[in-house]
Amino acid sequence: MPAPLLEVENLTHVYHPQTARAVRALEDVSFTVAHGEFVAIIGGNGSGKSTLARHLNALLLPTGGRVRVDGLDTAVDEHLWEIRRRVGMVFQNPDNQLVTSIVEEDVAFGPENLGVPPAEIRVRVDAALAAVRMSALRERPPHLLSGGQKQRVAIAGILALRPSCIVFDEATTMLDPAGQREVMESARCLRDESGITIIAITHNMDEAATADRILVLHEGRLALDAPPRQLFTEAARLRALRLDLPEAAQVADGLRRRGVAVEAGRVEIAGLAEAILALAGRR
Amino acid sequence: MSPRAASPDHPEIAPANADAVIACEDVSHVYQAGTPLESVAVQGVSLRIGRGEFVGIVGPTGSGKSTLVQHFNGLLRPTSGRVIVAGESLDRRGADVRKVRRTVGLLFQYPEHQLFEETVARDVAFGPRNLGLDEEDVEERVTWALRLVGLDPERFGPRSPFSLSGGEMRRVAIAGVLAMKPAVLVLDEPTAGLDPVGRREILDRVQSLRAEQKITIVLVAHSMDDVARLCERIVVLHQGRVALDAPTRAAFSAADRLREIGLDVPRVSDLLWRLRAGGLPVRTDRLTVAEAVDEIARTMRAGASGGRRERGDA
Amino acid sequence: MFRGLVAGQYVPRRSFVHGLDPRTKILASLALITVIFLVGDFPGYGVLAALVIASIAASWLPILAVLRGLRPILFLVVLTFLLQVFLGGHDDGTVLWGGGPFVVTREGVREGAFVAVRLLILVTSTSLLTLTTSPMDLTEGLERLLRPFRRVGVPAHELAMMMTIALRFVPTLIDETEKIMKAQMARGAELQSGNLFQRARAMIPILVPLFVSAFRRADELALAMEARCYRGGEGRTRMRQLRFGAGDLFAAFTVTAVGALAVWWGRVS
Repeated sequence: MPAPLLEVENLTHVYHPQTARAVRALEDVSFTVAHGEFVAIIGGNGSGKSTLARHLNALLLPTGGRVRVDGLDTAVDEHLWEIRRRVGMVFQNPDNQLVTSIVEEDVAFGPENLGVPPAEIRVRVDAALAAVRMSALRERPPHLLSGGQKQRVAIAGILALRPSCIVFDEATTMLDPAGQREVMESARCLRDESGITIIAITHNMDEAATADRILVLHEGRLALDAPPRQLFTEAARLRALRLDLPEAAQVADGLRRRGVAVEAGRVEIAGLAEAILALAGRR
Repeated sequence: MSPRAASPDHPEIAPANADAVIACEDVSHVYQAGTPLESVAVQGVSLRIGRGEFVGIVGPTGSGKSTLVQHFNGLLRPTSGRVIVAGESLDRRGADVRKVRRTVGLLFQYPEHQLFEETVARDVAFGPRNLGLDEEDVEERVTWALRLVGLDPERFGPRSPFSLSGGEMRRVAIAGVLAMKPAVLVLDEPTAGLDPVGRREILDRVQSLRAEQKITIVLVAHSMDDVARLCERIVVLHQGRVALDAPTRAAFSAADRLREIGLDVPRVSDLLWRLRAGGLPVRTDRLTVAEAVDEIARTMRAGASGGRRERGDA
Repeated sequence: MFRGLVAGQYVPRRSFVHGLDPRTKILASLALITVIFLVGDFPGYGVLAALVIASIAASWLPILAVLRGLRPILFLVVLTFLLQVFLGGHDDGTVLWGGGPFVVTREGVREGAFVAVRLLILVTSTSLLTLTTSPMDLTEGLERLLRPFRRVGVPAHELAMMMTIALRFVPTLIDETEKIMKAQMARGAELQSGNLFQRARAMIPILVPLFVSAFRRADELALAMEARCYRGGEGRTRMRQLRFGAGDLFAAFTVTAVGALAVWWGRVS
């Protein structure tokens, strides 16, 4: 088995350590993520999701434990830029992560920081914009784009760094449904076509339901780690963790209680509809 | 003092519409008219919102929702057409905008970004103070409004609004508008950016405002799921026009229409439509998870017995 | 209202002037400004005016856009003219018109016209720079021009990055200001009435949220920049390359020649 892309070992993070304001945000969190996986991390506000995300590209360093990216320890200074190149991050607010007033210049920002030769930057920028289908808007100022378009520009900016992994830190929270779909479709497409590992931090359960695997954080600890089908059958347990079921799973849960034996773990509307129709003998 | 009693008579509204607290007649709004950047945001909208209604205004981004609701309290004036709020015609020069703003409380998206005072209590007091109330009344309203949003005035009143969680800050902002005791509360995407628990808390509060304080509620949203669950009536905007204005159940049984406009139907409706398309004769006007479970379970039981009978007949 | 101001004056075209290296245009503008102050008589201004008009023609700008750019300073031009004419104080000049304390002399009118023309040429030539050069190009040009001065402590990259970020965020902050103003007006705030003190006080509910949000944005942007491997100007490359071409050579030569001609011709006789 190939070595995992991300290795998180007994990660603990304390903000303002050794002061009166010390806050334990993460406590003994361990997991690994393989190359090409699509992992969702869910949890209520204050569960430590964003803190965890920031450890994945060395924006924060562990108080205890260790984080490794492709075997590179985030706590070692010399690895810093290589780690940030390999793990990109799309943040929540689409307005606060684009740096320049022209789309393509913004996409060039990352490679420029690494000192990539200009001709090579041009090639990367064009490819990155094409990958998120934003080539037509390359000369627009970002403030005239929709939220979903801004986030796609942010994704392109990361792609231009040729990353192995993109972390979406609640990147769809501030978007309308159309924007949410745009961003998630881009993410899925990058995973399927370029094998880029996707970590989606979200509190949108329907978004999480489409991942390969879901990690649930609760009060800084890793509470659950399971594929969606398995996870969303545990309705009571999730509610206790301040989380909801996706609506399809709620309906399935309700039907099972009413004696309609819908196959467990149908977490998407389309899948649930199929399962019910199969049960009713309509297909 | 209940908001209903506080609201003035409205002699200018014809008797037939006496219950419309907000009436738009053929309202259009054009931004930057006469320049190359001219854009029509709202076009020929006629709409009445009655006292005590719970109306959802939905539509994709850019459909004119936010522009339209800013007419409801005189922040925007129509380029053409008339807006009458509580009997005050807003297109007239010298219209009493203050009275209109007192009647209609408007809460923008991410309202916590408007907090500015040193303490929660002082921030909530901002609105009532602008109304010119004396200190005693102001204080009473602050306590009342904070209780309504589920924040203990003793505990939260003296704290800095900037030290609160996102959900708490949002509730403080809502209290700031409620403290003006509006007859109508317009909420623009009140749950945007909150986690599921925070969303539920806010929406539950909104529901009880309607039930207990008899406040008319206008909920602006792009999430169909919330609107379907809460509102009695849905107004769908599309490219600045009213595409649909119907009681909620009727609106979502017209799911195809909504899809044409590019709106999502609530997931529950989506499921029922898929089942129906697959040959399971469920009703499609069920809106909540519980209703859908009932409907599917009932249909399947009937289908199962119907199936046996068919076999028996053959 | 704000929007026109911020969008900047840049009018995209594919003209000769637009295609020049921003460094050429910045230096040419600086040269022109210097020449304007060296020229002491009308013939020199005639030459300069001809150059400016020729540049406008070579930039394919709609003449209306250029004139609109002059509108804000028209008042200033007229005012300076009138001040010179009426208060220029030429006791020994040829009196054209006299009434009470005001005396209009031929020399006064001449002086007034002189200052007005000087101001007009100054503003037209600098606005030609901003009309034909995108803010990003301008920033880039300035950074390159300042780069040699890094050794004496001019933070060229930092200045350019600040300008870039300002250009990016001004429209966002303006939108935000409008939104906060509306939100406070919805809570009954009176922003447009009262005396100066009351109005200043009424700005607090606007300014505090605006600052809070600006700081939050700055924090988030800094984090996003770090995540994209930003570590200052050292070792940074640029996708956009400035190229000094034949056109630039021609433009530089023309401006130098015409400037010299203007200075020579416009000597105070």
